[in-house]
Amino acid sequence: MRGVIRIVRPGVVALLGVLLVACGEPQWRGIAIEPAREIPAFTFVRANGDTLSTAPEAGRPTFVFFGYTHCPDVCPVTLADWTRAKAALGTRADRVRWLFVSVDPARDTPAVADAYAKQFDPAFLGLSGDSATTAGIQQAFTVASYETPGATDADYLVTHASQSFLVDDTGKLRAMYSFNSGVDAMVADLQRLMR
Amino acid sequence: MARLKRAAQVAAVVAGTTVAVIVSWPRPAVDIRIPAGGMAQIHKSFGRVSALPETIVVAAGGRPRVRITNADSIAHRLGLFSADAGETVEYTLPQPGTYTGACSAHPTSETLTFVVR
Repeated sequence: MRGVIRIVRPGVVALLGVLLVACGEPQWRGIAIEPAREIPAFTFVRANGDTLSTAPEAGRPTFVFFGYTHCPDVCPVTLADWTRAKAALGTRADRVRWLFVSVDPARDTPAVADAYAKQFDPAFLGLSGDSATTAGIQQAFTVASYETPGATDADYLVTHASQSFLVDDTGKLRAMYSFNSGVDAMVADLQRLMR
Repeated sequence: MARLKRAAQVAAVVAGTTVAVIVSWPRPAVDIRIPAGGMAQIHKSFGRVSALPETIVVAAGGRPRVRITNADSIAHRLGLFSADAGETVEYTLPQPGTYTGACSAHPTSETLTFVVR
């Protein structure tokens, strides 16, 4: 019996070792995306004429959400969630870039988009690009949006993706967070990226 | 005799490692493949293939993964998830919930819902 144990033991150790390595992989709390997707940089013109590039900055993860300022439901709830996530991060939240990107550039000028985002927190940046920039960044994140009729021509709604995206400081899309899924996962994953 | 023991030990290590690799090899809970033309299919074990339903129920345990292999020439969205042309990508669903969104690779529906429970 002892002889059998002596022979089998190395195999069991190898088995446990491989399992340990396989299970030891750190996990995202949001919806992880593997392999992480490279997001190209986009440049937006802001209300004051300055430009803002979404190019990655070392040590600064970026949260991105696509919405519009006339949104009756998803956008205000999501930005309110961001406010709570930012508060939970404390001073470390200063390292995060929070980008609200309008999918309705016809009504959301850069000034309107930025003022809307800043209603929730002064650190949030509201961006609205020309149609090529808007289409390009939506394509990079593979998010869709389309207009649906409202009471009048000017009152149209925009159906749009409802998830928030987490991009790391090398410009790779790492995870996303479905609408109304709470802020704990966002906070945990941001903390992980800012270790 | 000592050689035989040594050989048996090596065989045990190889067998243990093989079993561990097979057991821990990541398998998606849902394997969606989009061939050229864009009509997505679900691939299951033993080569079974079915059309994409409107709702996919996924068991919540063990951080299930959804793998999308897009062999089409354009990017596709499947609910919350997406895959660029030629891309294979996996999404890990960390918590129970309902994940719904537009679907561009569905034979009969414009939306696709994943229910994790």
